[in-house]
Order: sequence, then C-alpha cells, then structure tokens
Amino acid sequence: MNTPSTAGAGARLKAADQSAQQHGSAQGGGSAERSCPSPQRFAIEACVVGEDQQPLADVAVELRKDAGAVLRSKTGPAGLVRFEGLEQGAYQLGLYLLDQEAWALAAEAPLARPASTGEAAWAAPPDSAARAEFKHRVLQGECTAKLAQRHGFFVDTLWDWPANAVLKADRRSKYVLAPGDLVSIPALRMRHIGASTGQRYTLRRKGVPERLDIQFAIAGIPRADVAYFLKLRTLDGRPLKDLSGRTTADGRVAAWVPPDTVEAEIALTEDGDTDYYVFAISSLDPACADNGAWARLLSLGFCAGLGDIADTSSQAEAVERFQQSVGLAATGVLDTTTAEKLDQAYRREE
Amino acid sequence: MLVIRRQQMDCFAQEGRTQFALAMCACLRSQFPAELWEITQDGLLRLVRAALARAATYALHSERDCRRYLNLCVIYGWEFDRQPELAWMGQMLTDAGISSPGLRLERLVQHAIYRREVEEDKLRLDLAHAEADGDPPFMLLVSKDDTIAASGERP
Repeated sequence: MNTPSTAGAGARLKAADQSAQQHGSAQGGGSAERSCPSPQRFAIEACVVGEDQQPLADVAVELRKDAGAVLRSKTGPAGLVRFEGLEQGAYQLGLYLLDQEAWALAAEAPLARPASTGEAAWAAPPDSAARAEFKHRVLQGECTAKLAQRHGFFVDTLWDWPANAVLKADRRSKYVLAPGDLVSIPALRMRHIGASTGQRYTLRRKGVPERLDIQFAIAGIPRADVAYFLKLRTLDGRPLKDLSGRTTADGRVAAWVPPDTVEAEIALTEDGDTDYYVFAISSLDPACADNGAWARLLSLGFCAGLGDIADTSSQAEAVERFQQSVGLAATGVLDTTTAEKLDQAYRREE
Repeated sequence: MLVIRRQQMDCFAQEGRTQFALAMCACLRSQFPAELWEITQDGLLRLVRAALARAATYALHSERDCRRYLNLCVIYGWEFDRQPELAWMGQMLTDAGISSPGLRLERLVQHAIYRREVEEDKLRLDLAHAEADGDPPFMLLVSKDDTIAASGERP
C-alpha cells in the first residue's frame, strides 16, 4: 500500500479527480467503437442532512421510475447523490433503508447543472423479504438512539412504540438501558416523495446526529472559557473530524456526535496544564444497578478521597455520604429510595 | 459498401487500447509527477494496463471512470482493492446496494478524498496538541442526554 507521507495527498487526489470528471469522456476507453450521441438527459439530486444541517454520509437513496425499475445509491461525505441519465419527467425518491418517520423533506431547489449525459442504469429492485418486528437484547454500551440509527428509525419512534411501553416506564431515559433489556424493533415502513428532473431535494434524517453535552466543574464551580479538544471514536472506527473550542460560561462542552459514538476523549487546557477525560458513551447503567449507582456517585463527586473505587467499603462510604447529603438514613446500602434520589440528583446536574 | 471484418475491428481495438493506456499514463504523470517520477514509461504502462484490466472487473470502462480509478491506484497503491487494510475500498466497489458501477466509484472517490483530508487534519492537530502535558486519561460513564460534573471534588 502507498502511504503518502507528504501533506496534501487528499488535495492532489481531489484535483486529479476534478480533472478526470471535466476532461474524461463517458465513452468506453480504448474501444474501437463509438456510440451515437444520446438524446438530452437530466439529473435529480438528493442531499441528506442531519439534525445539525450538516451532510450525512452512507445513507441509502432510491429513485423509482416504476415498481420494476429503480436506481439505488448511497450518499458520499457531502451527503449527496446525483442520479443522471434520466428522461425528463417525474419520479419517486426515498430513503429505502429508513422508516417513514425517520426522515422528512427539508427543501427543494433547482439544480445548477440539470443536464447530464449517458443513460440511467435502471434495474429491478432486489427481491428481499420485508423484515418483521423482532426483539433485540441490549448489550453494554447500547441505548435507544444507537439501536434506532442501526435499524433505520427515528429514536422517538422506537421509544414510543407500544411494545416498548413497559421498558420506557422502567428506564425513564431512552439513553439509559441495562444489558439484557429487550427492545422491540418494528418492521420498516417505507415511503417515497415525488421528484422531478432538474431538482435537488434536501432530506433531513431525524434524530441523527445526537447531542453530547458534558459539564465540567470543580467543587461545583463551572470550568468556564477553558480550551477543549474533543476526539470521538465510533463502533466501526471510521475517521471523524476532531473538534476544538472553549467551554461555555457554565463549563459545558456541547457537540453533535453520531449516535454510534462509543468513546469521547476531551482534553481541557487551562494555565498551561491539560486534563484528559475519556467518556464511554451510552455505557451508563440504570441507577438501581451497582455499576450505574457507582458511576453517578463518581461523577457527582461523592467518591473523592476514598481510595480504590472497586472496594466495597469505599462504595458503602460513598453511598453514606450521598444519603447524608439528601437527608436519608446513612446506611451505606443502595436501596430503592437511595437509587431514585441518586438518579434525581444526577439529573439535576443537567 | 465498406466492409470491416472482425479481425480488422480487433486490430483497431488493440491499437485503441494501447493508445488509451498511453493517454492514461500521460494524465497520471501530469497529475502526480512526484509520485511517479521514479517509474519508467514501460513500467508505468504495465501498471496501468493491469489496473485497467482490474477496473474492467468492476464494470468501469469509460475514460472518466478509468481515470478516477487510476487516480486512486496512485494514491493508495496499484492493488489497493486487494489490500486487507483497505477492505472498505473494495467493499464500496462491489456494493450491491448501489445500482451502477459509476455511482459506486463516485462514492468511493468521495470517501477516499474525505478520509485523506480528515487524517491529514488529525495529524496536524495531533502534532500541535502534542506539546501539551497532562495526566493520563481516566474513564467516566455517561449517557448522551445527561450532564455530569466531571472530576468534581465535593467540599
């Protein structure tokens, strides 16, 4: 494999690609035959954006001429798909791997380049049986948003699905599930919108990306206006842009992140010193679970100075401290009342 | 009436392929002089012919698609689509979820450019950031909708 060490290989590839598109003919290279000039053809573009209005890559898009003829593609990093070689007229456009509630038409505008060359390669849609509703057993690190993204749903569709009503009542937050929880994943309901040649359709993917919001404080005092550097890691390891900026007046680092983010590393630099924090995203268990309670006590500052955080006596001491702070009997035992109070205290920090 | 026999067409095609491969070599040399200066013309012609044969297995035949495929060969290696560490590229070239070879290549090129730019950007920021000293990272568990007070020392 070539590993160009000089900076700017991406820029050189981009320039070479633009040249290929501008000057490379659509004719077969090296063939002794030349096809007749084709009649004028047109294009339709779909641009898929997220909740942050930024382009979304790898979203499957379908243009349908009729039930037996479709063109399928996936968006690139610019969120764009351009279907070319179309006869002038009306078609159907849809995001065929997403549920009908998972996307919406955001805008429609005339194309700057409505004409195109060549002929569209229409094909029959592949025979694939519609997936029926099923139950998913939650693994550590999964939340409703991750499952919604993976299976093509808007997060609220899953959370409000009647078959998930008991789970919703038990867990209260769609972002806090316990390993072993069962989530019903409904069958996808596909839909299309009308699309005309010469137009670009901007489609918004609902619920993607998600908002990550972390507040930093020392002894209750927000770490305001501190330089931060944020690195994200997703399950599939695809490269994501690093983010940087300054914390808000109330000490927050807020960013849009893909729902399948598994880790966020934040470096805070203040007065020449840098503190590093690594967050396991969506790994928080419910407050009634030992791990979930411990994580909340840790983040609320009740574990300060307790030594080995895996030690049961340290954990009991932290629970006692918390119980005293909220006026409960200091038993050091994580009972139901303590767990509920702990969850409330944790949410108050939001 | 002018009759052109199959053998004559084959002869034209052979000549056409050679001219096409030479034209591709010239395009590559103009776009990537630094990457190709060490390769002789005969060597480059052999590499280009082999790459064009592989592009044909992905149904990439037009001049435009061949040029775009060859650009990737120069940046990622002449057999990039067979490299295990670049499996994502091979998968995009054969993605059955995309109707036409040209659309597959378009998406691959866009991703390749984007990834290269992100990696270069990360490298630049990492180098700038490496000067800062700090404590080793530790782990906290959070959910996306929850805000936490990290590293808070309770009085």
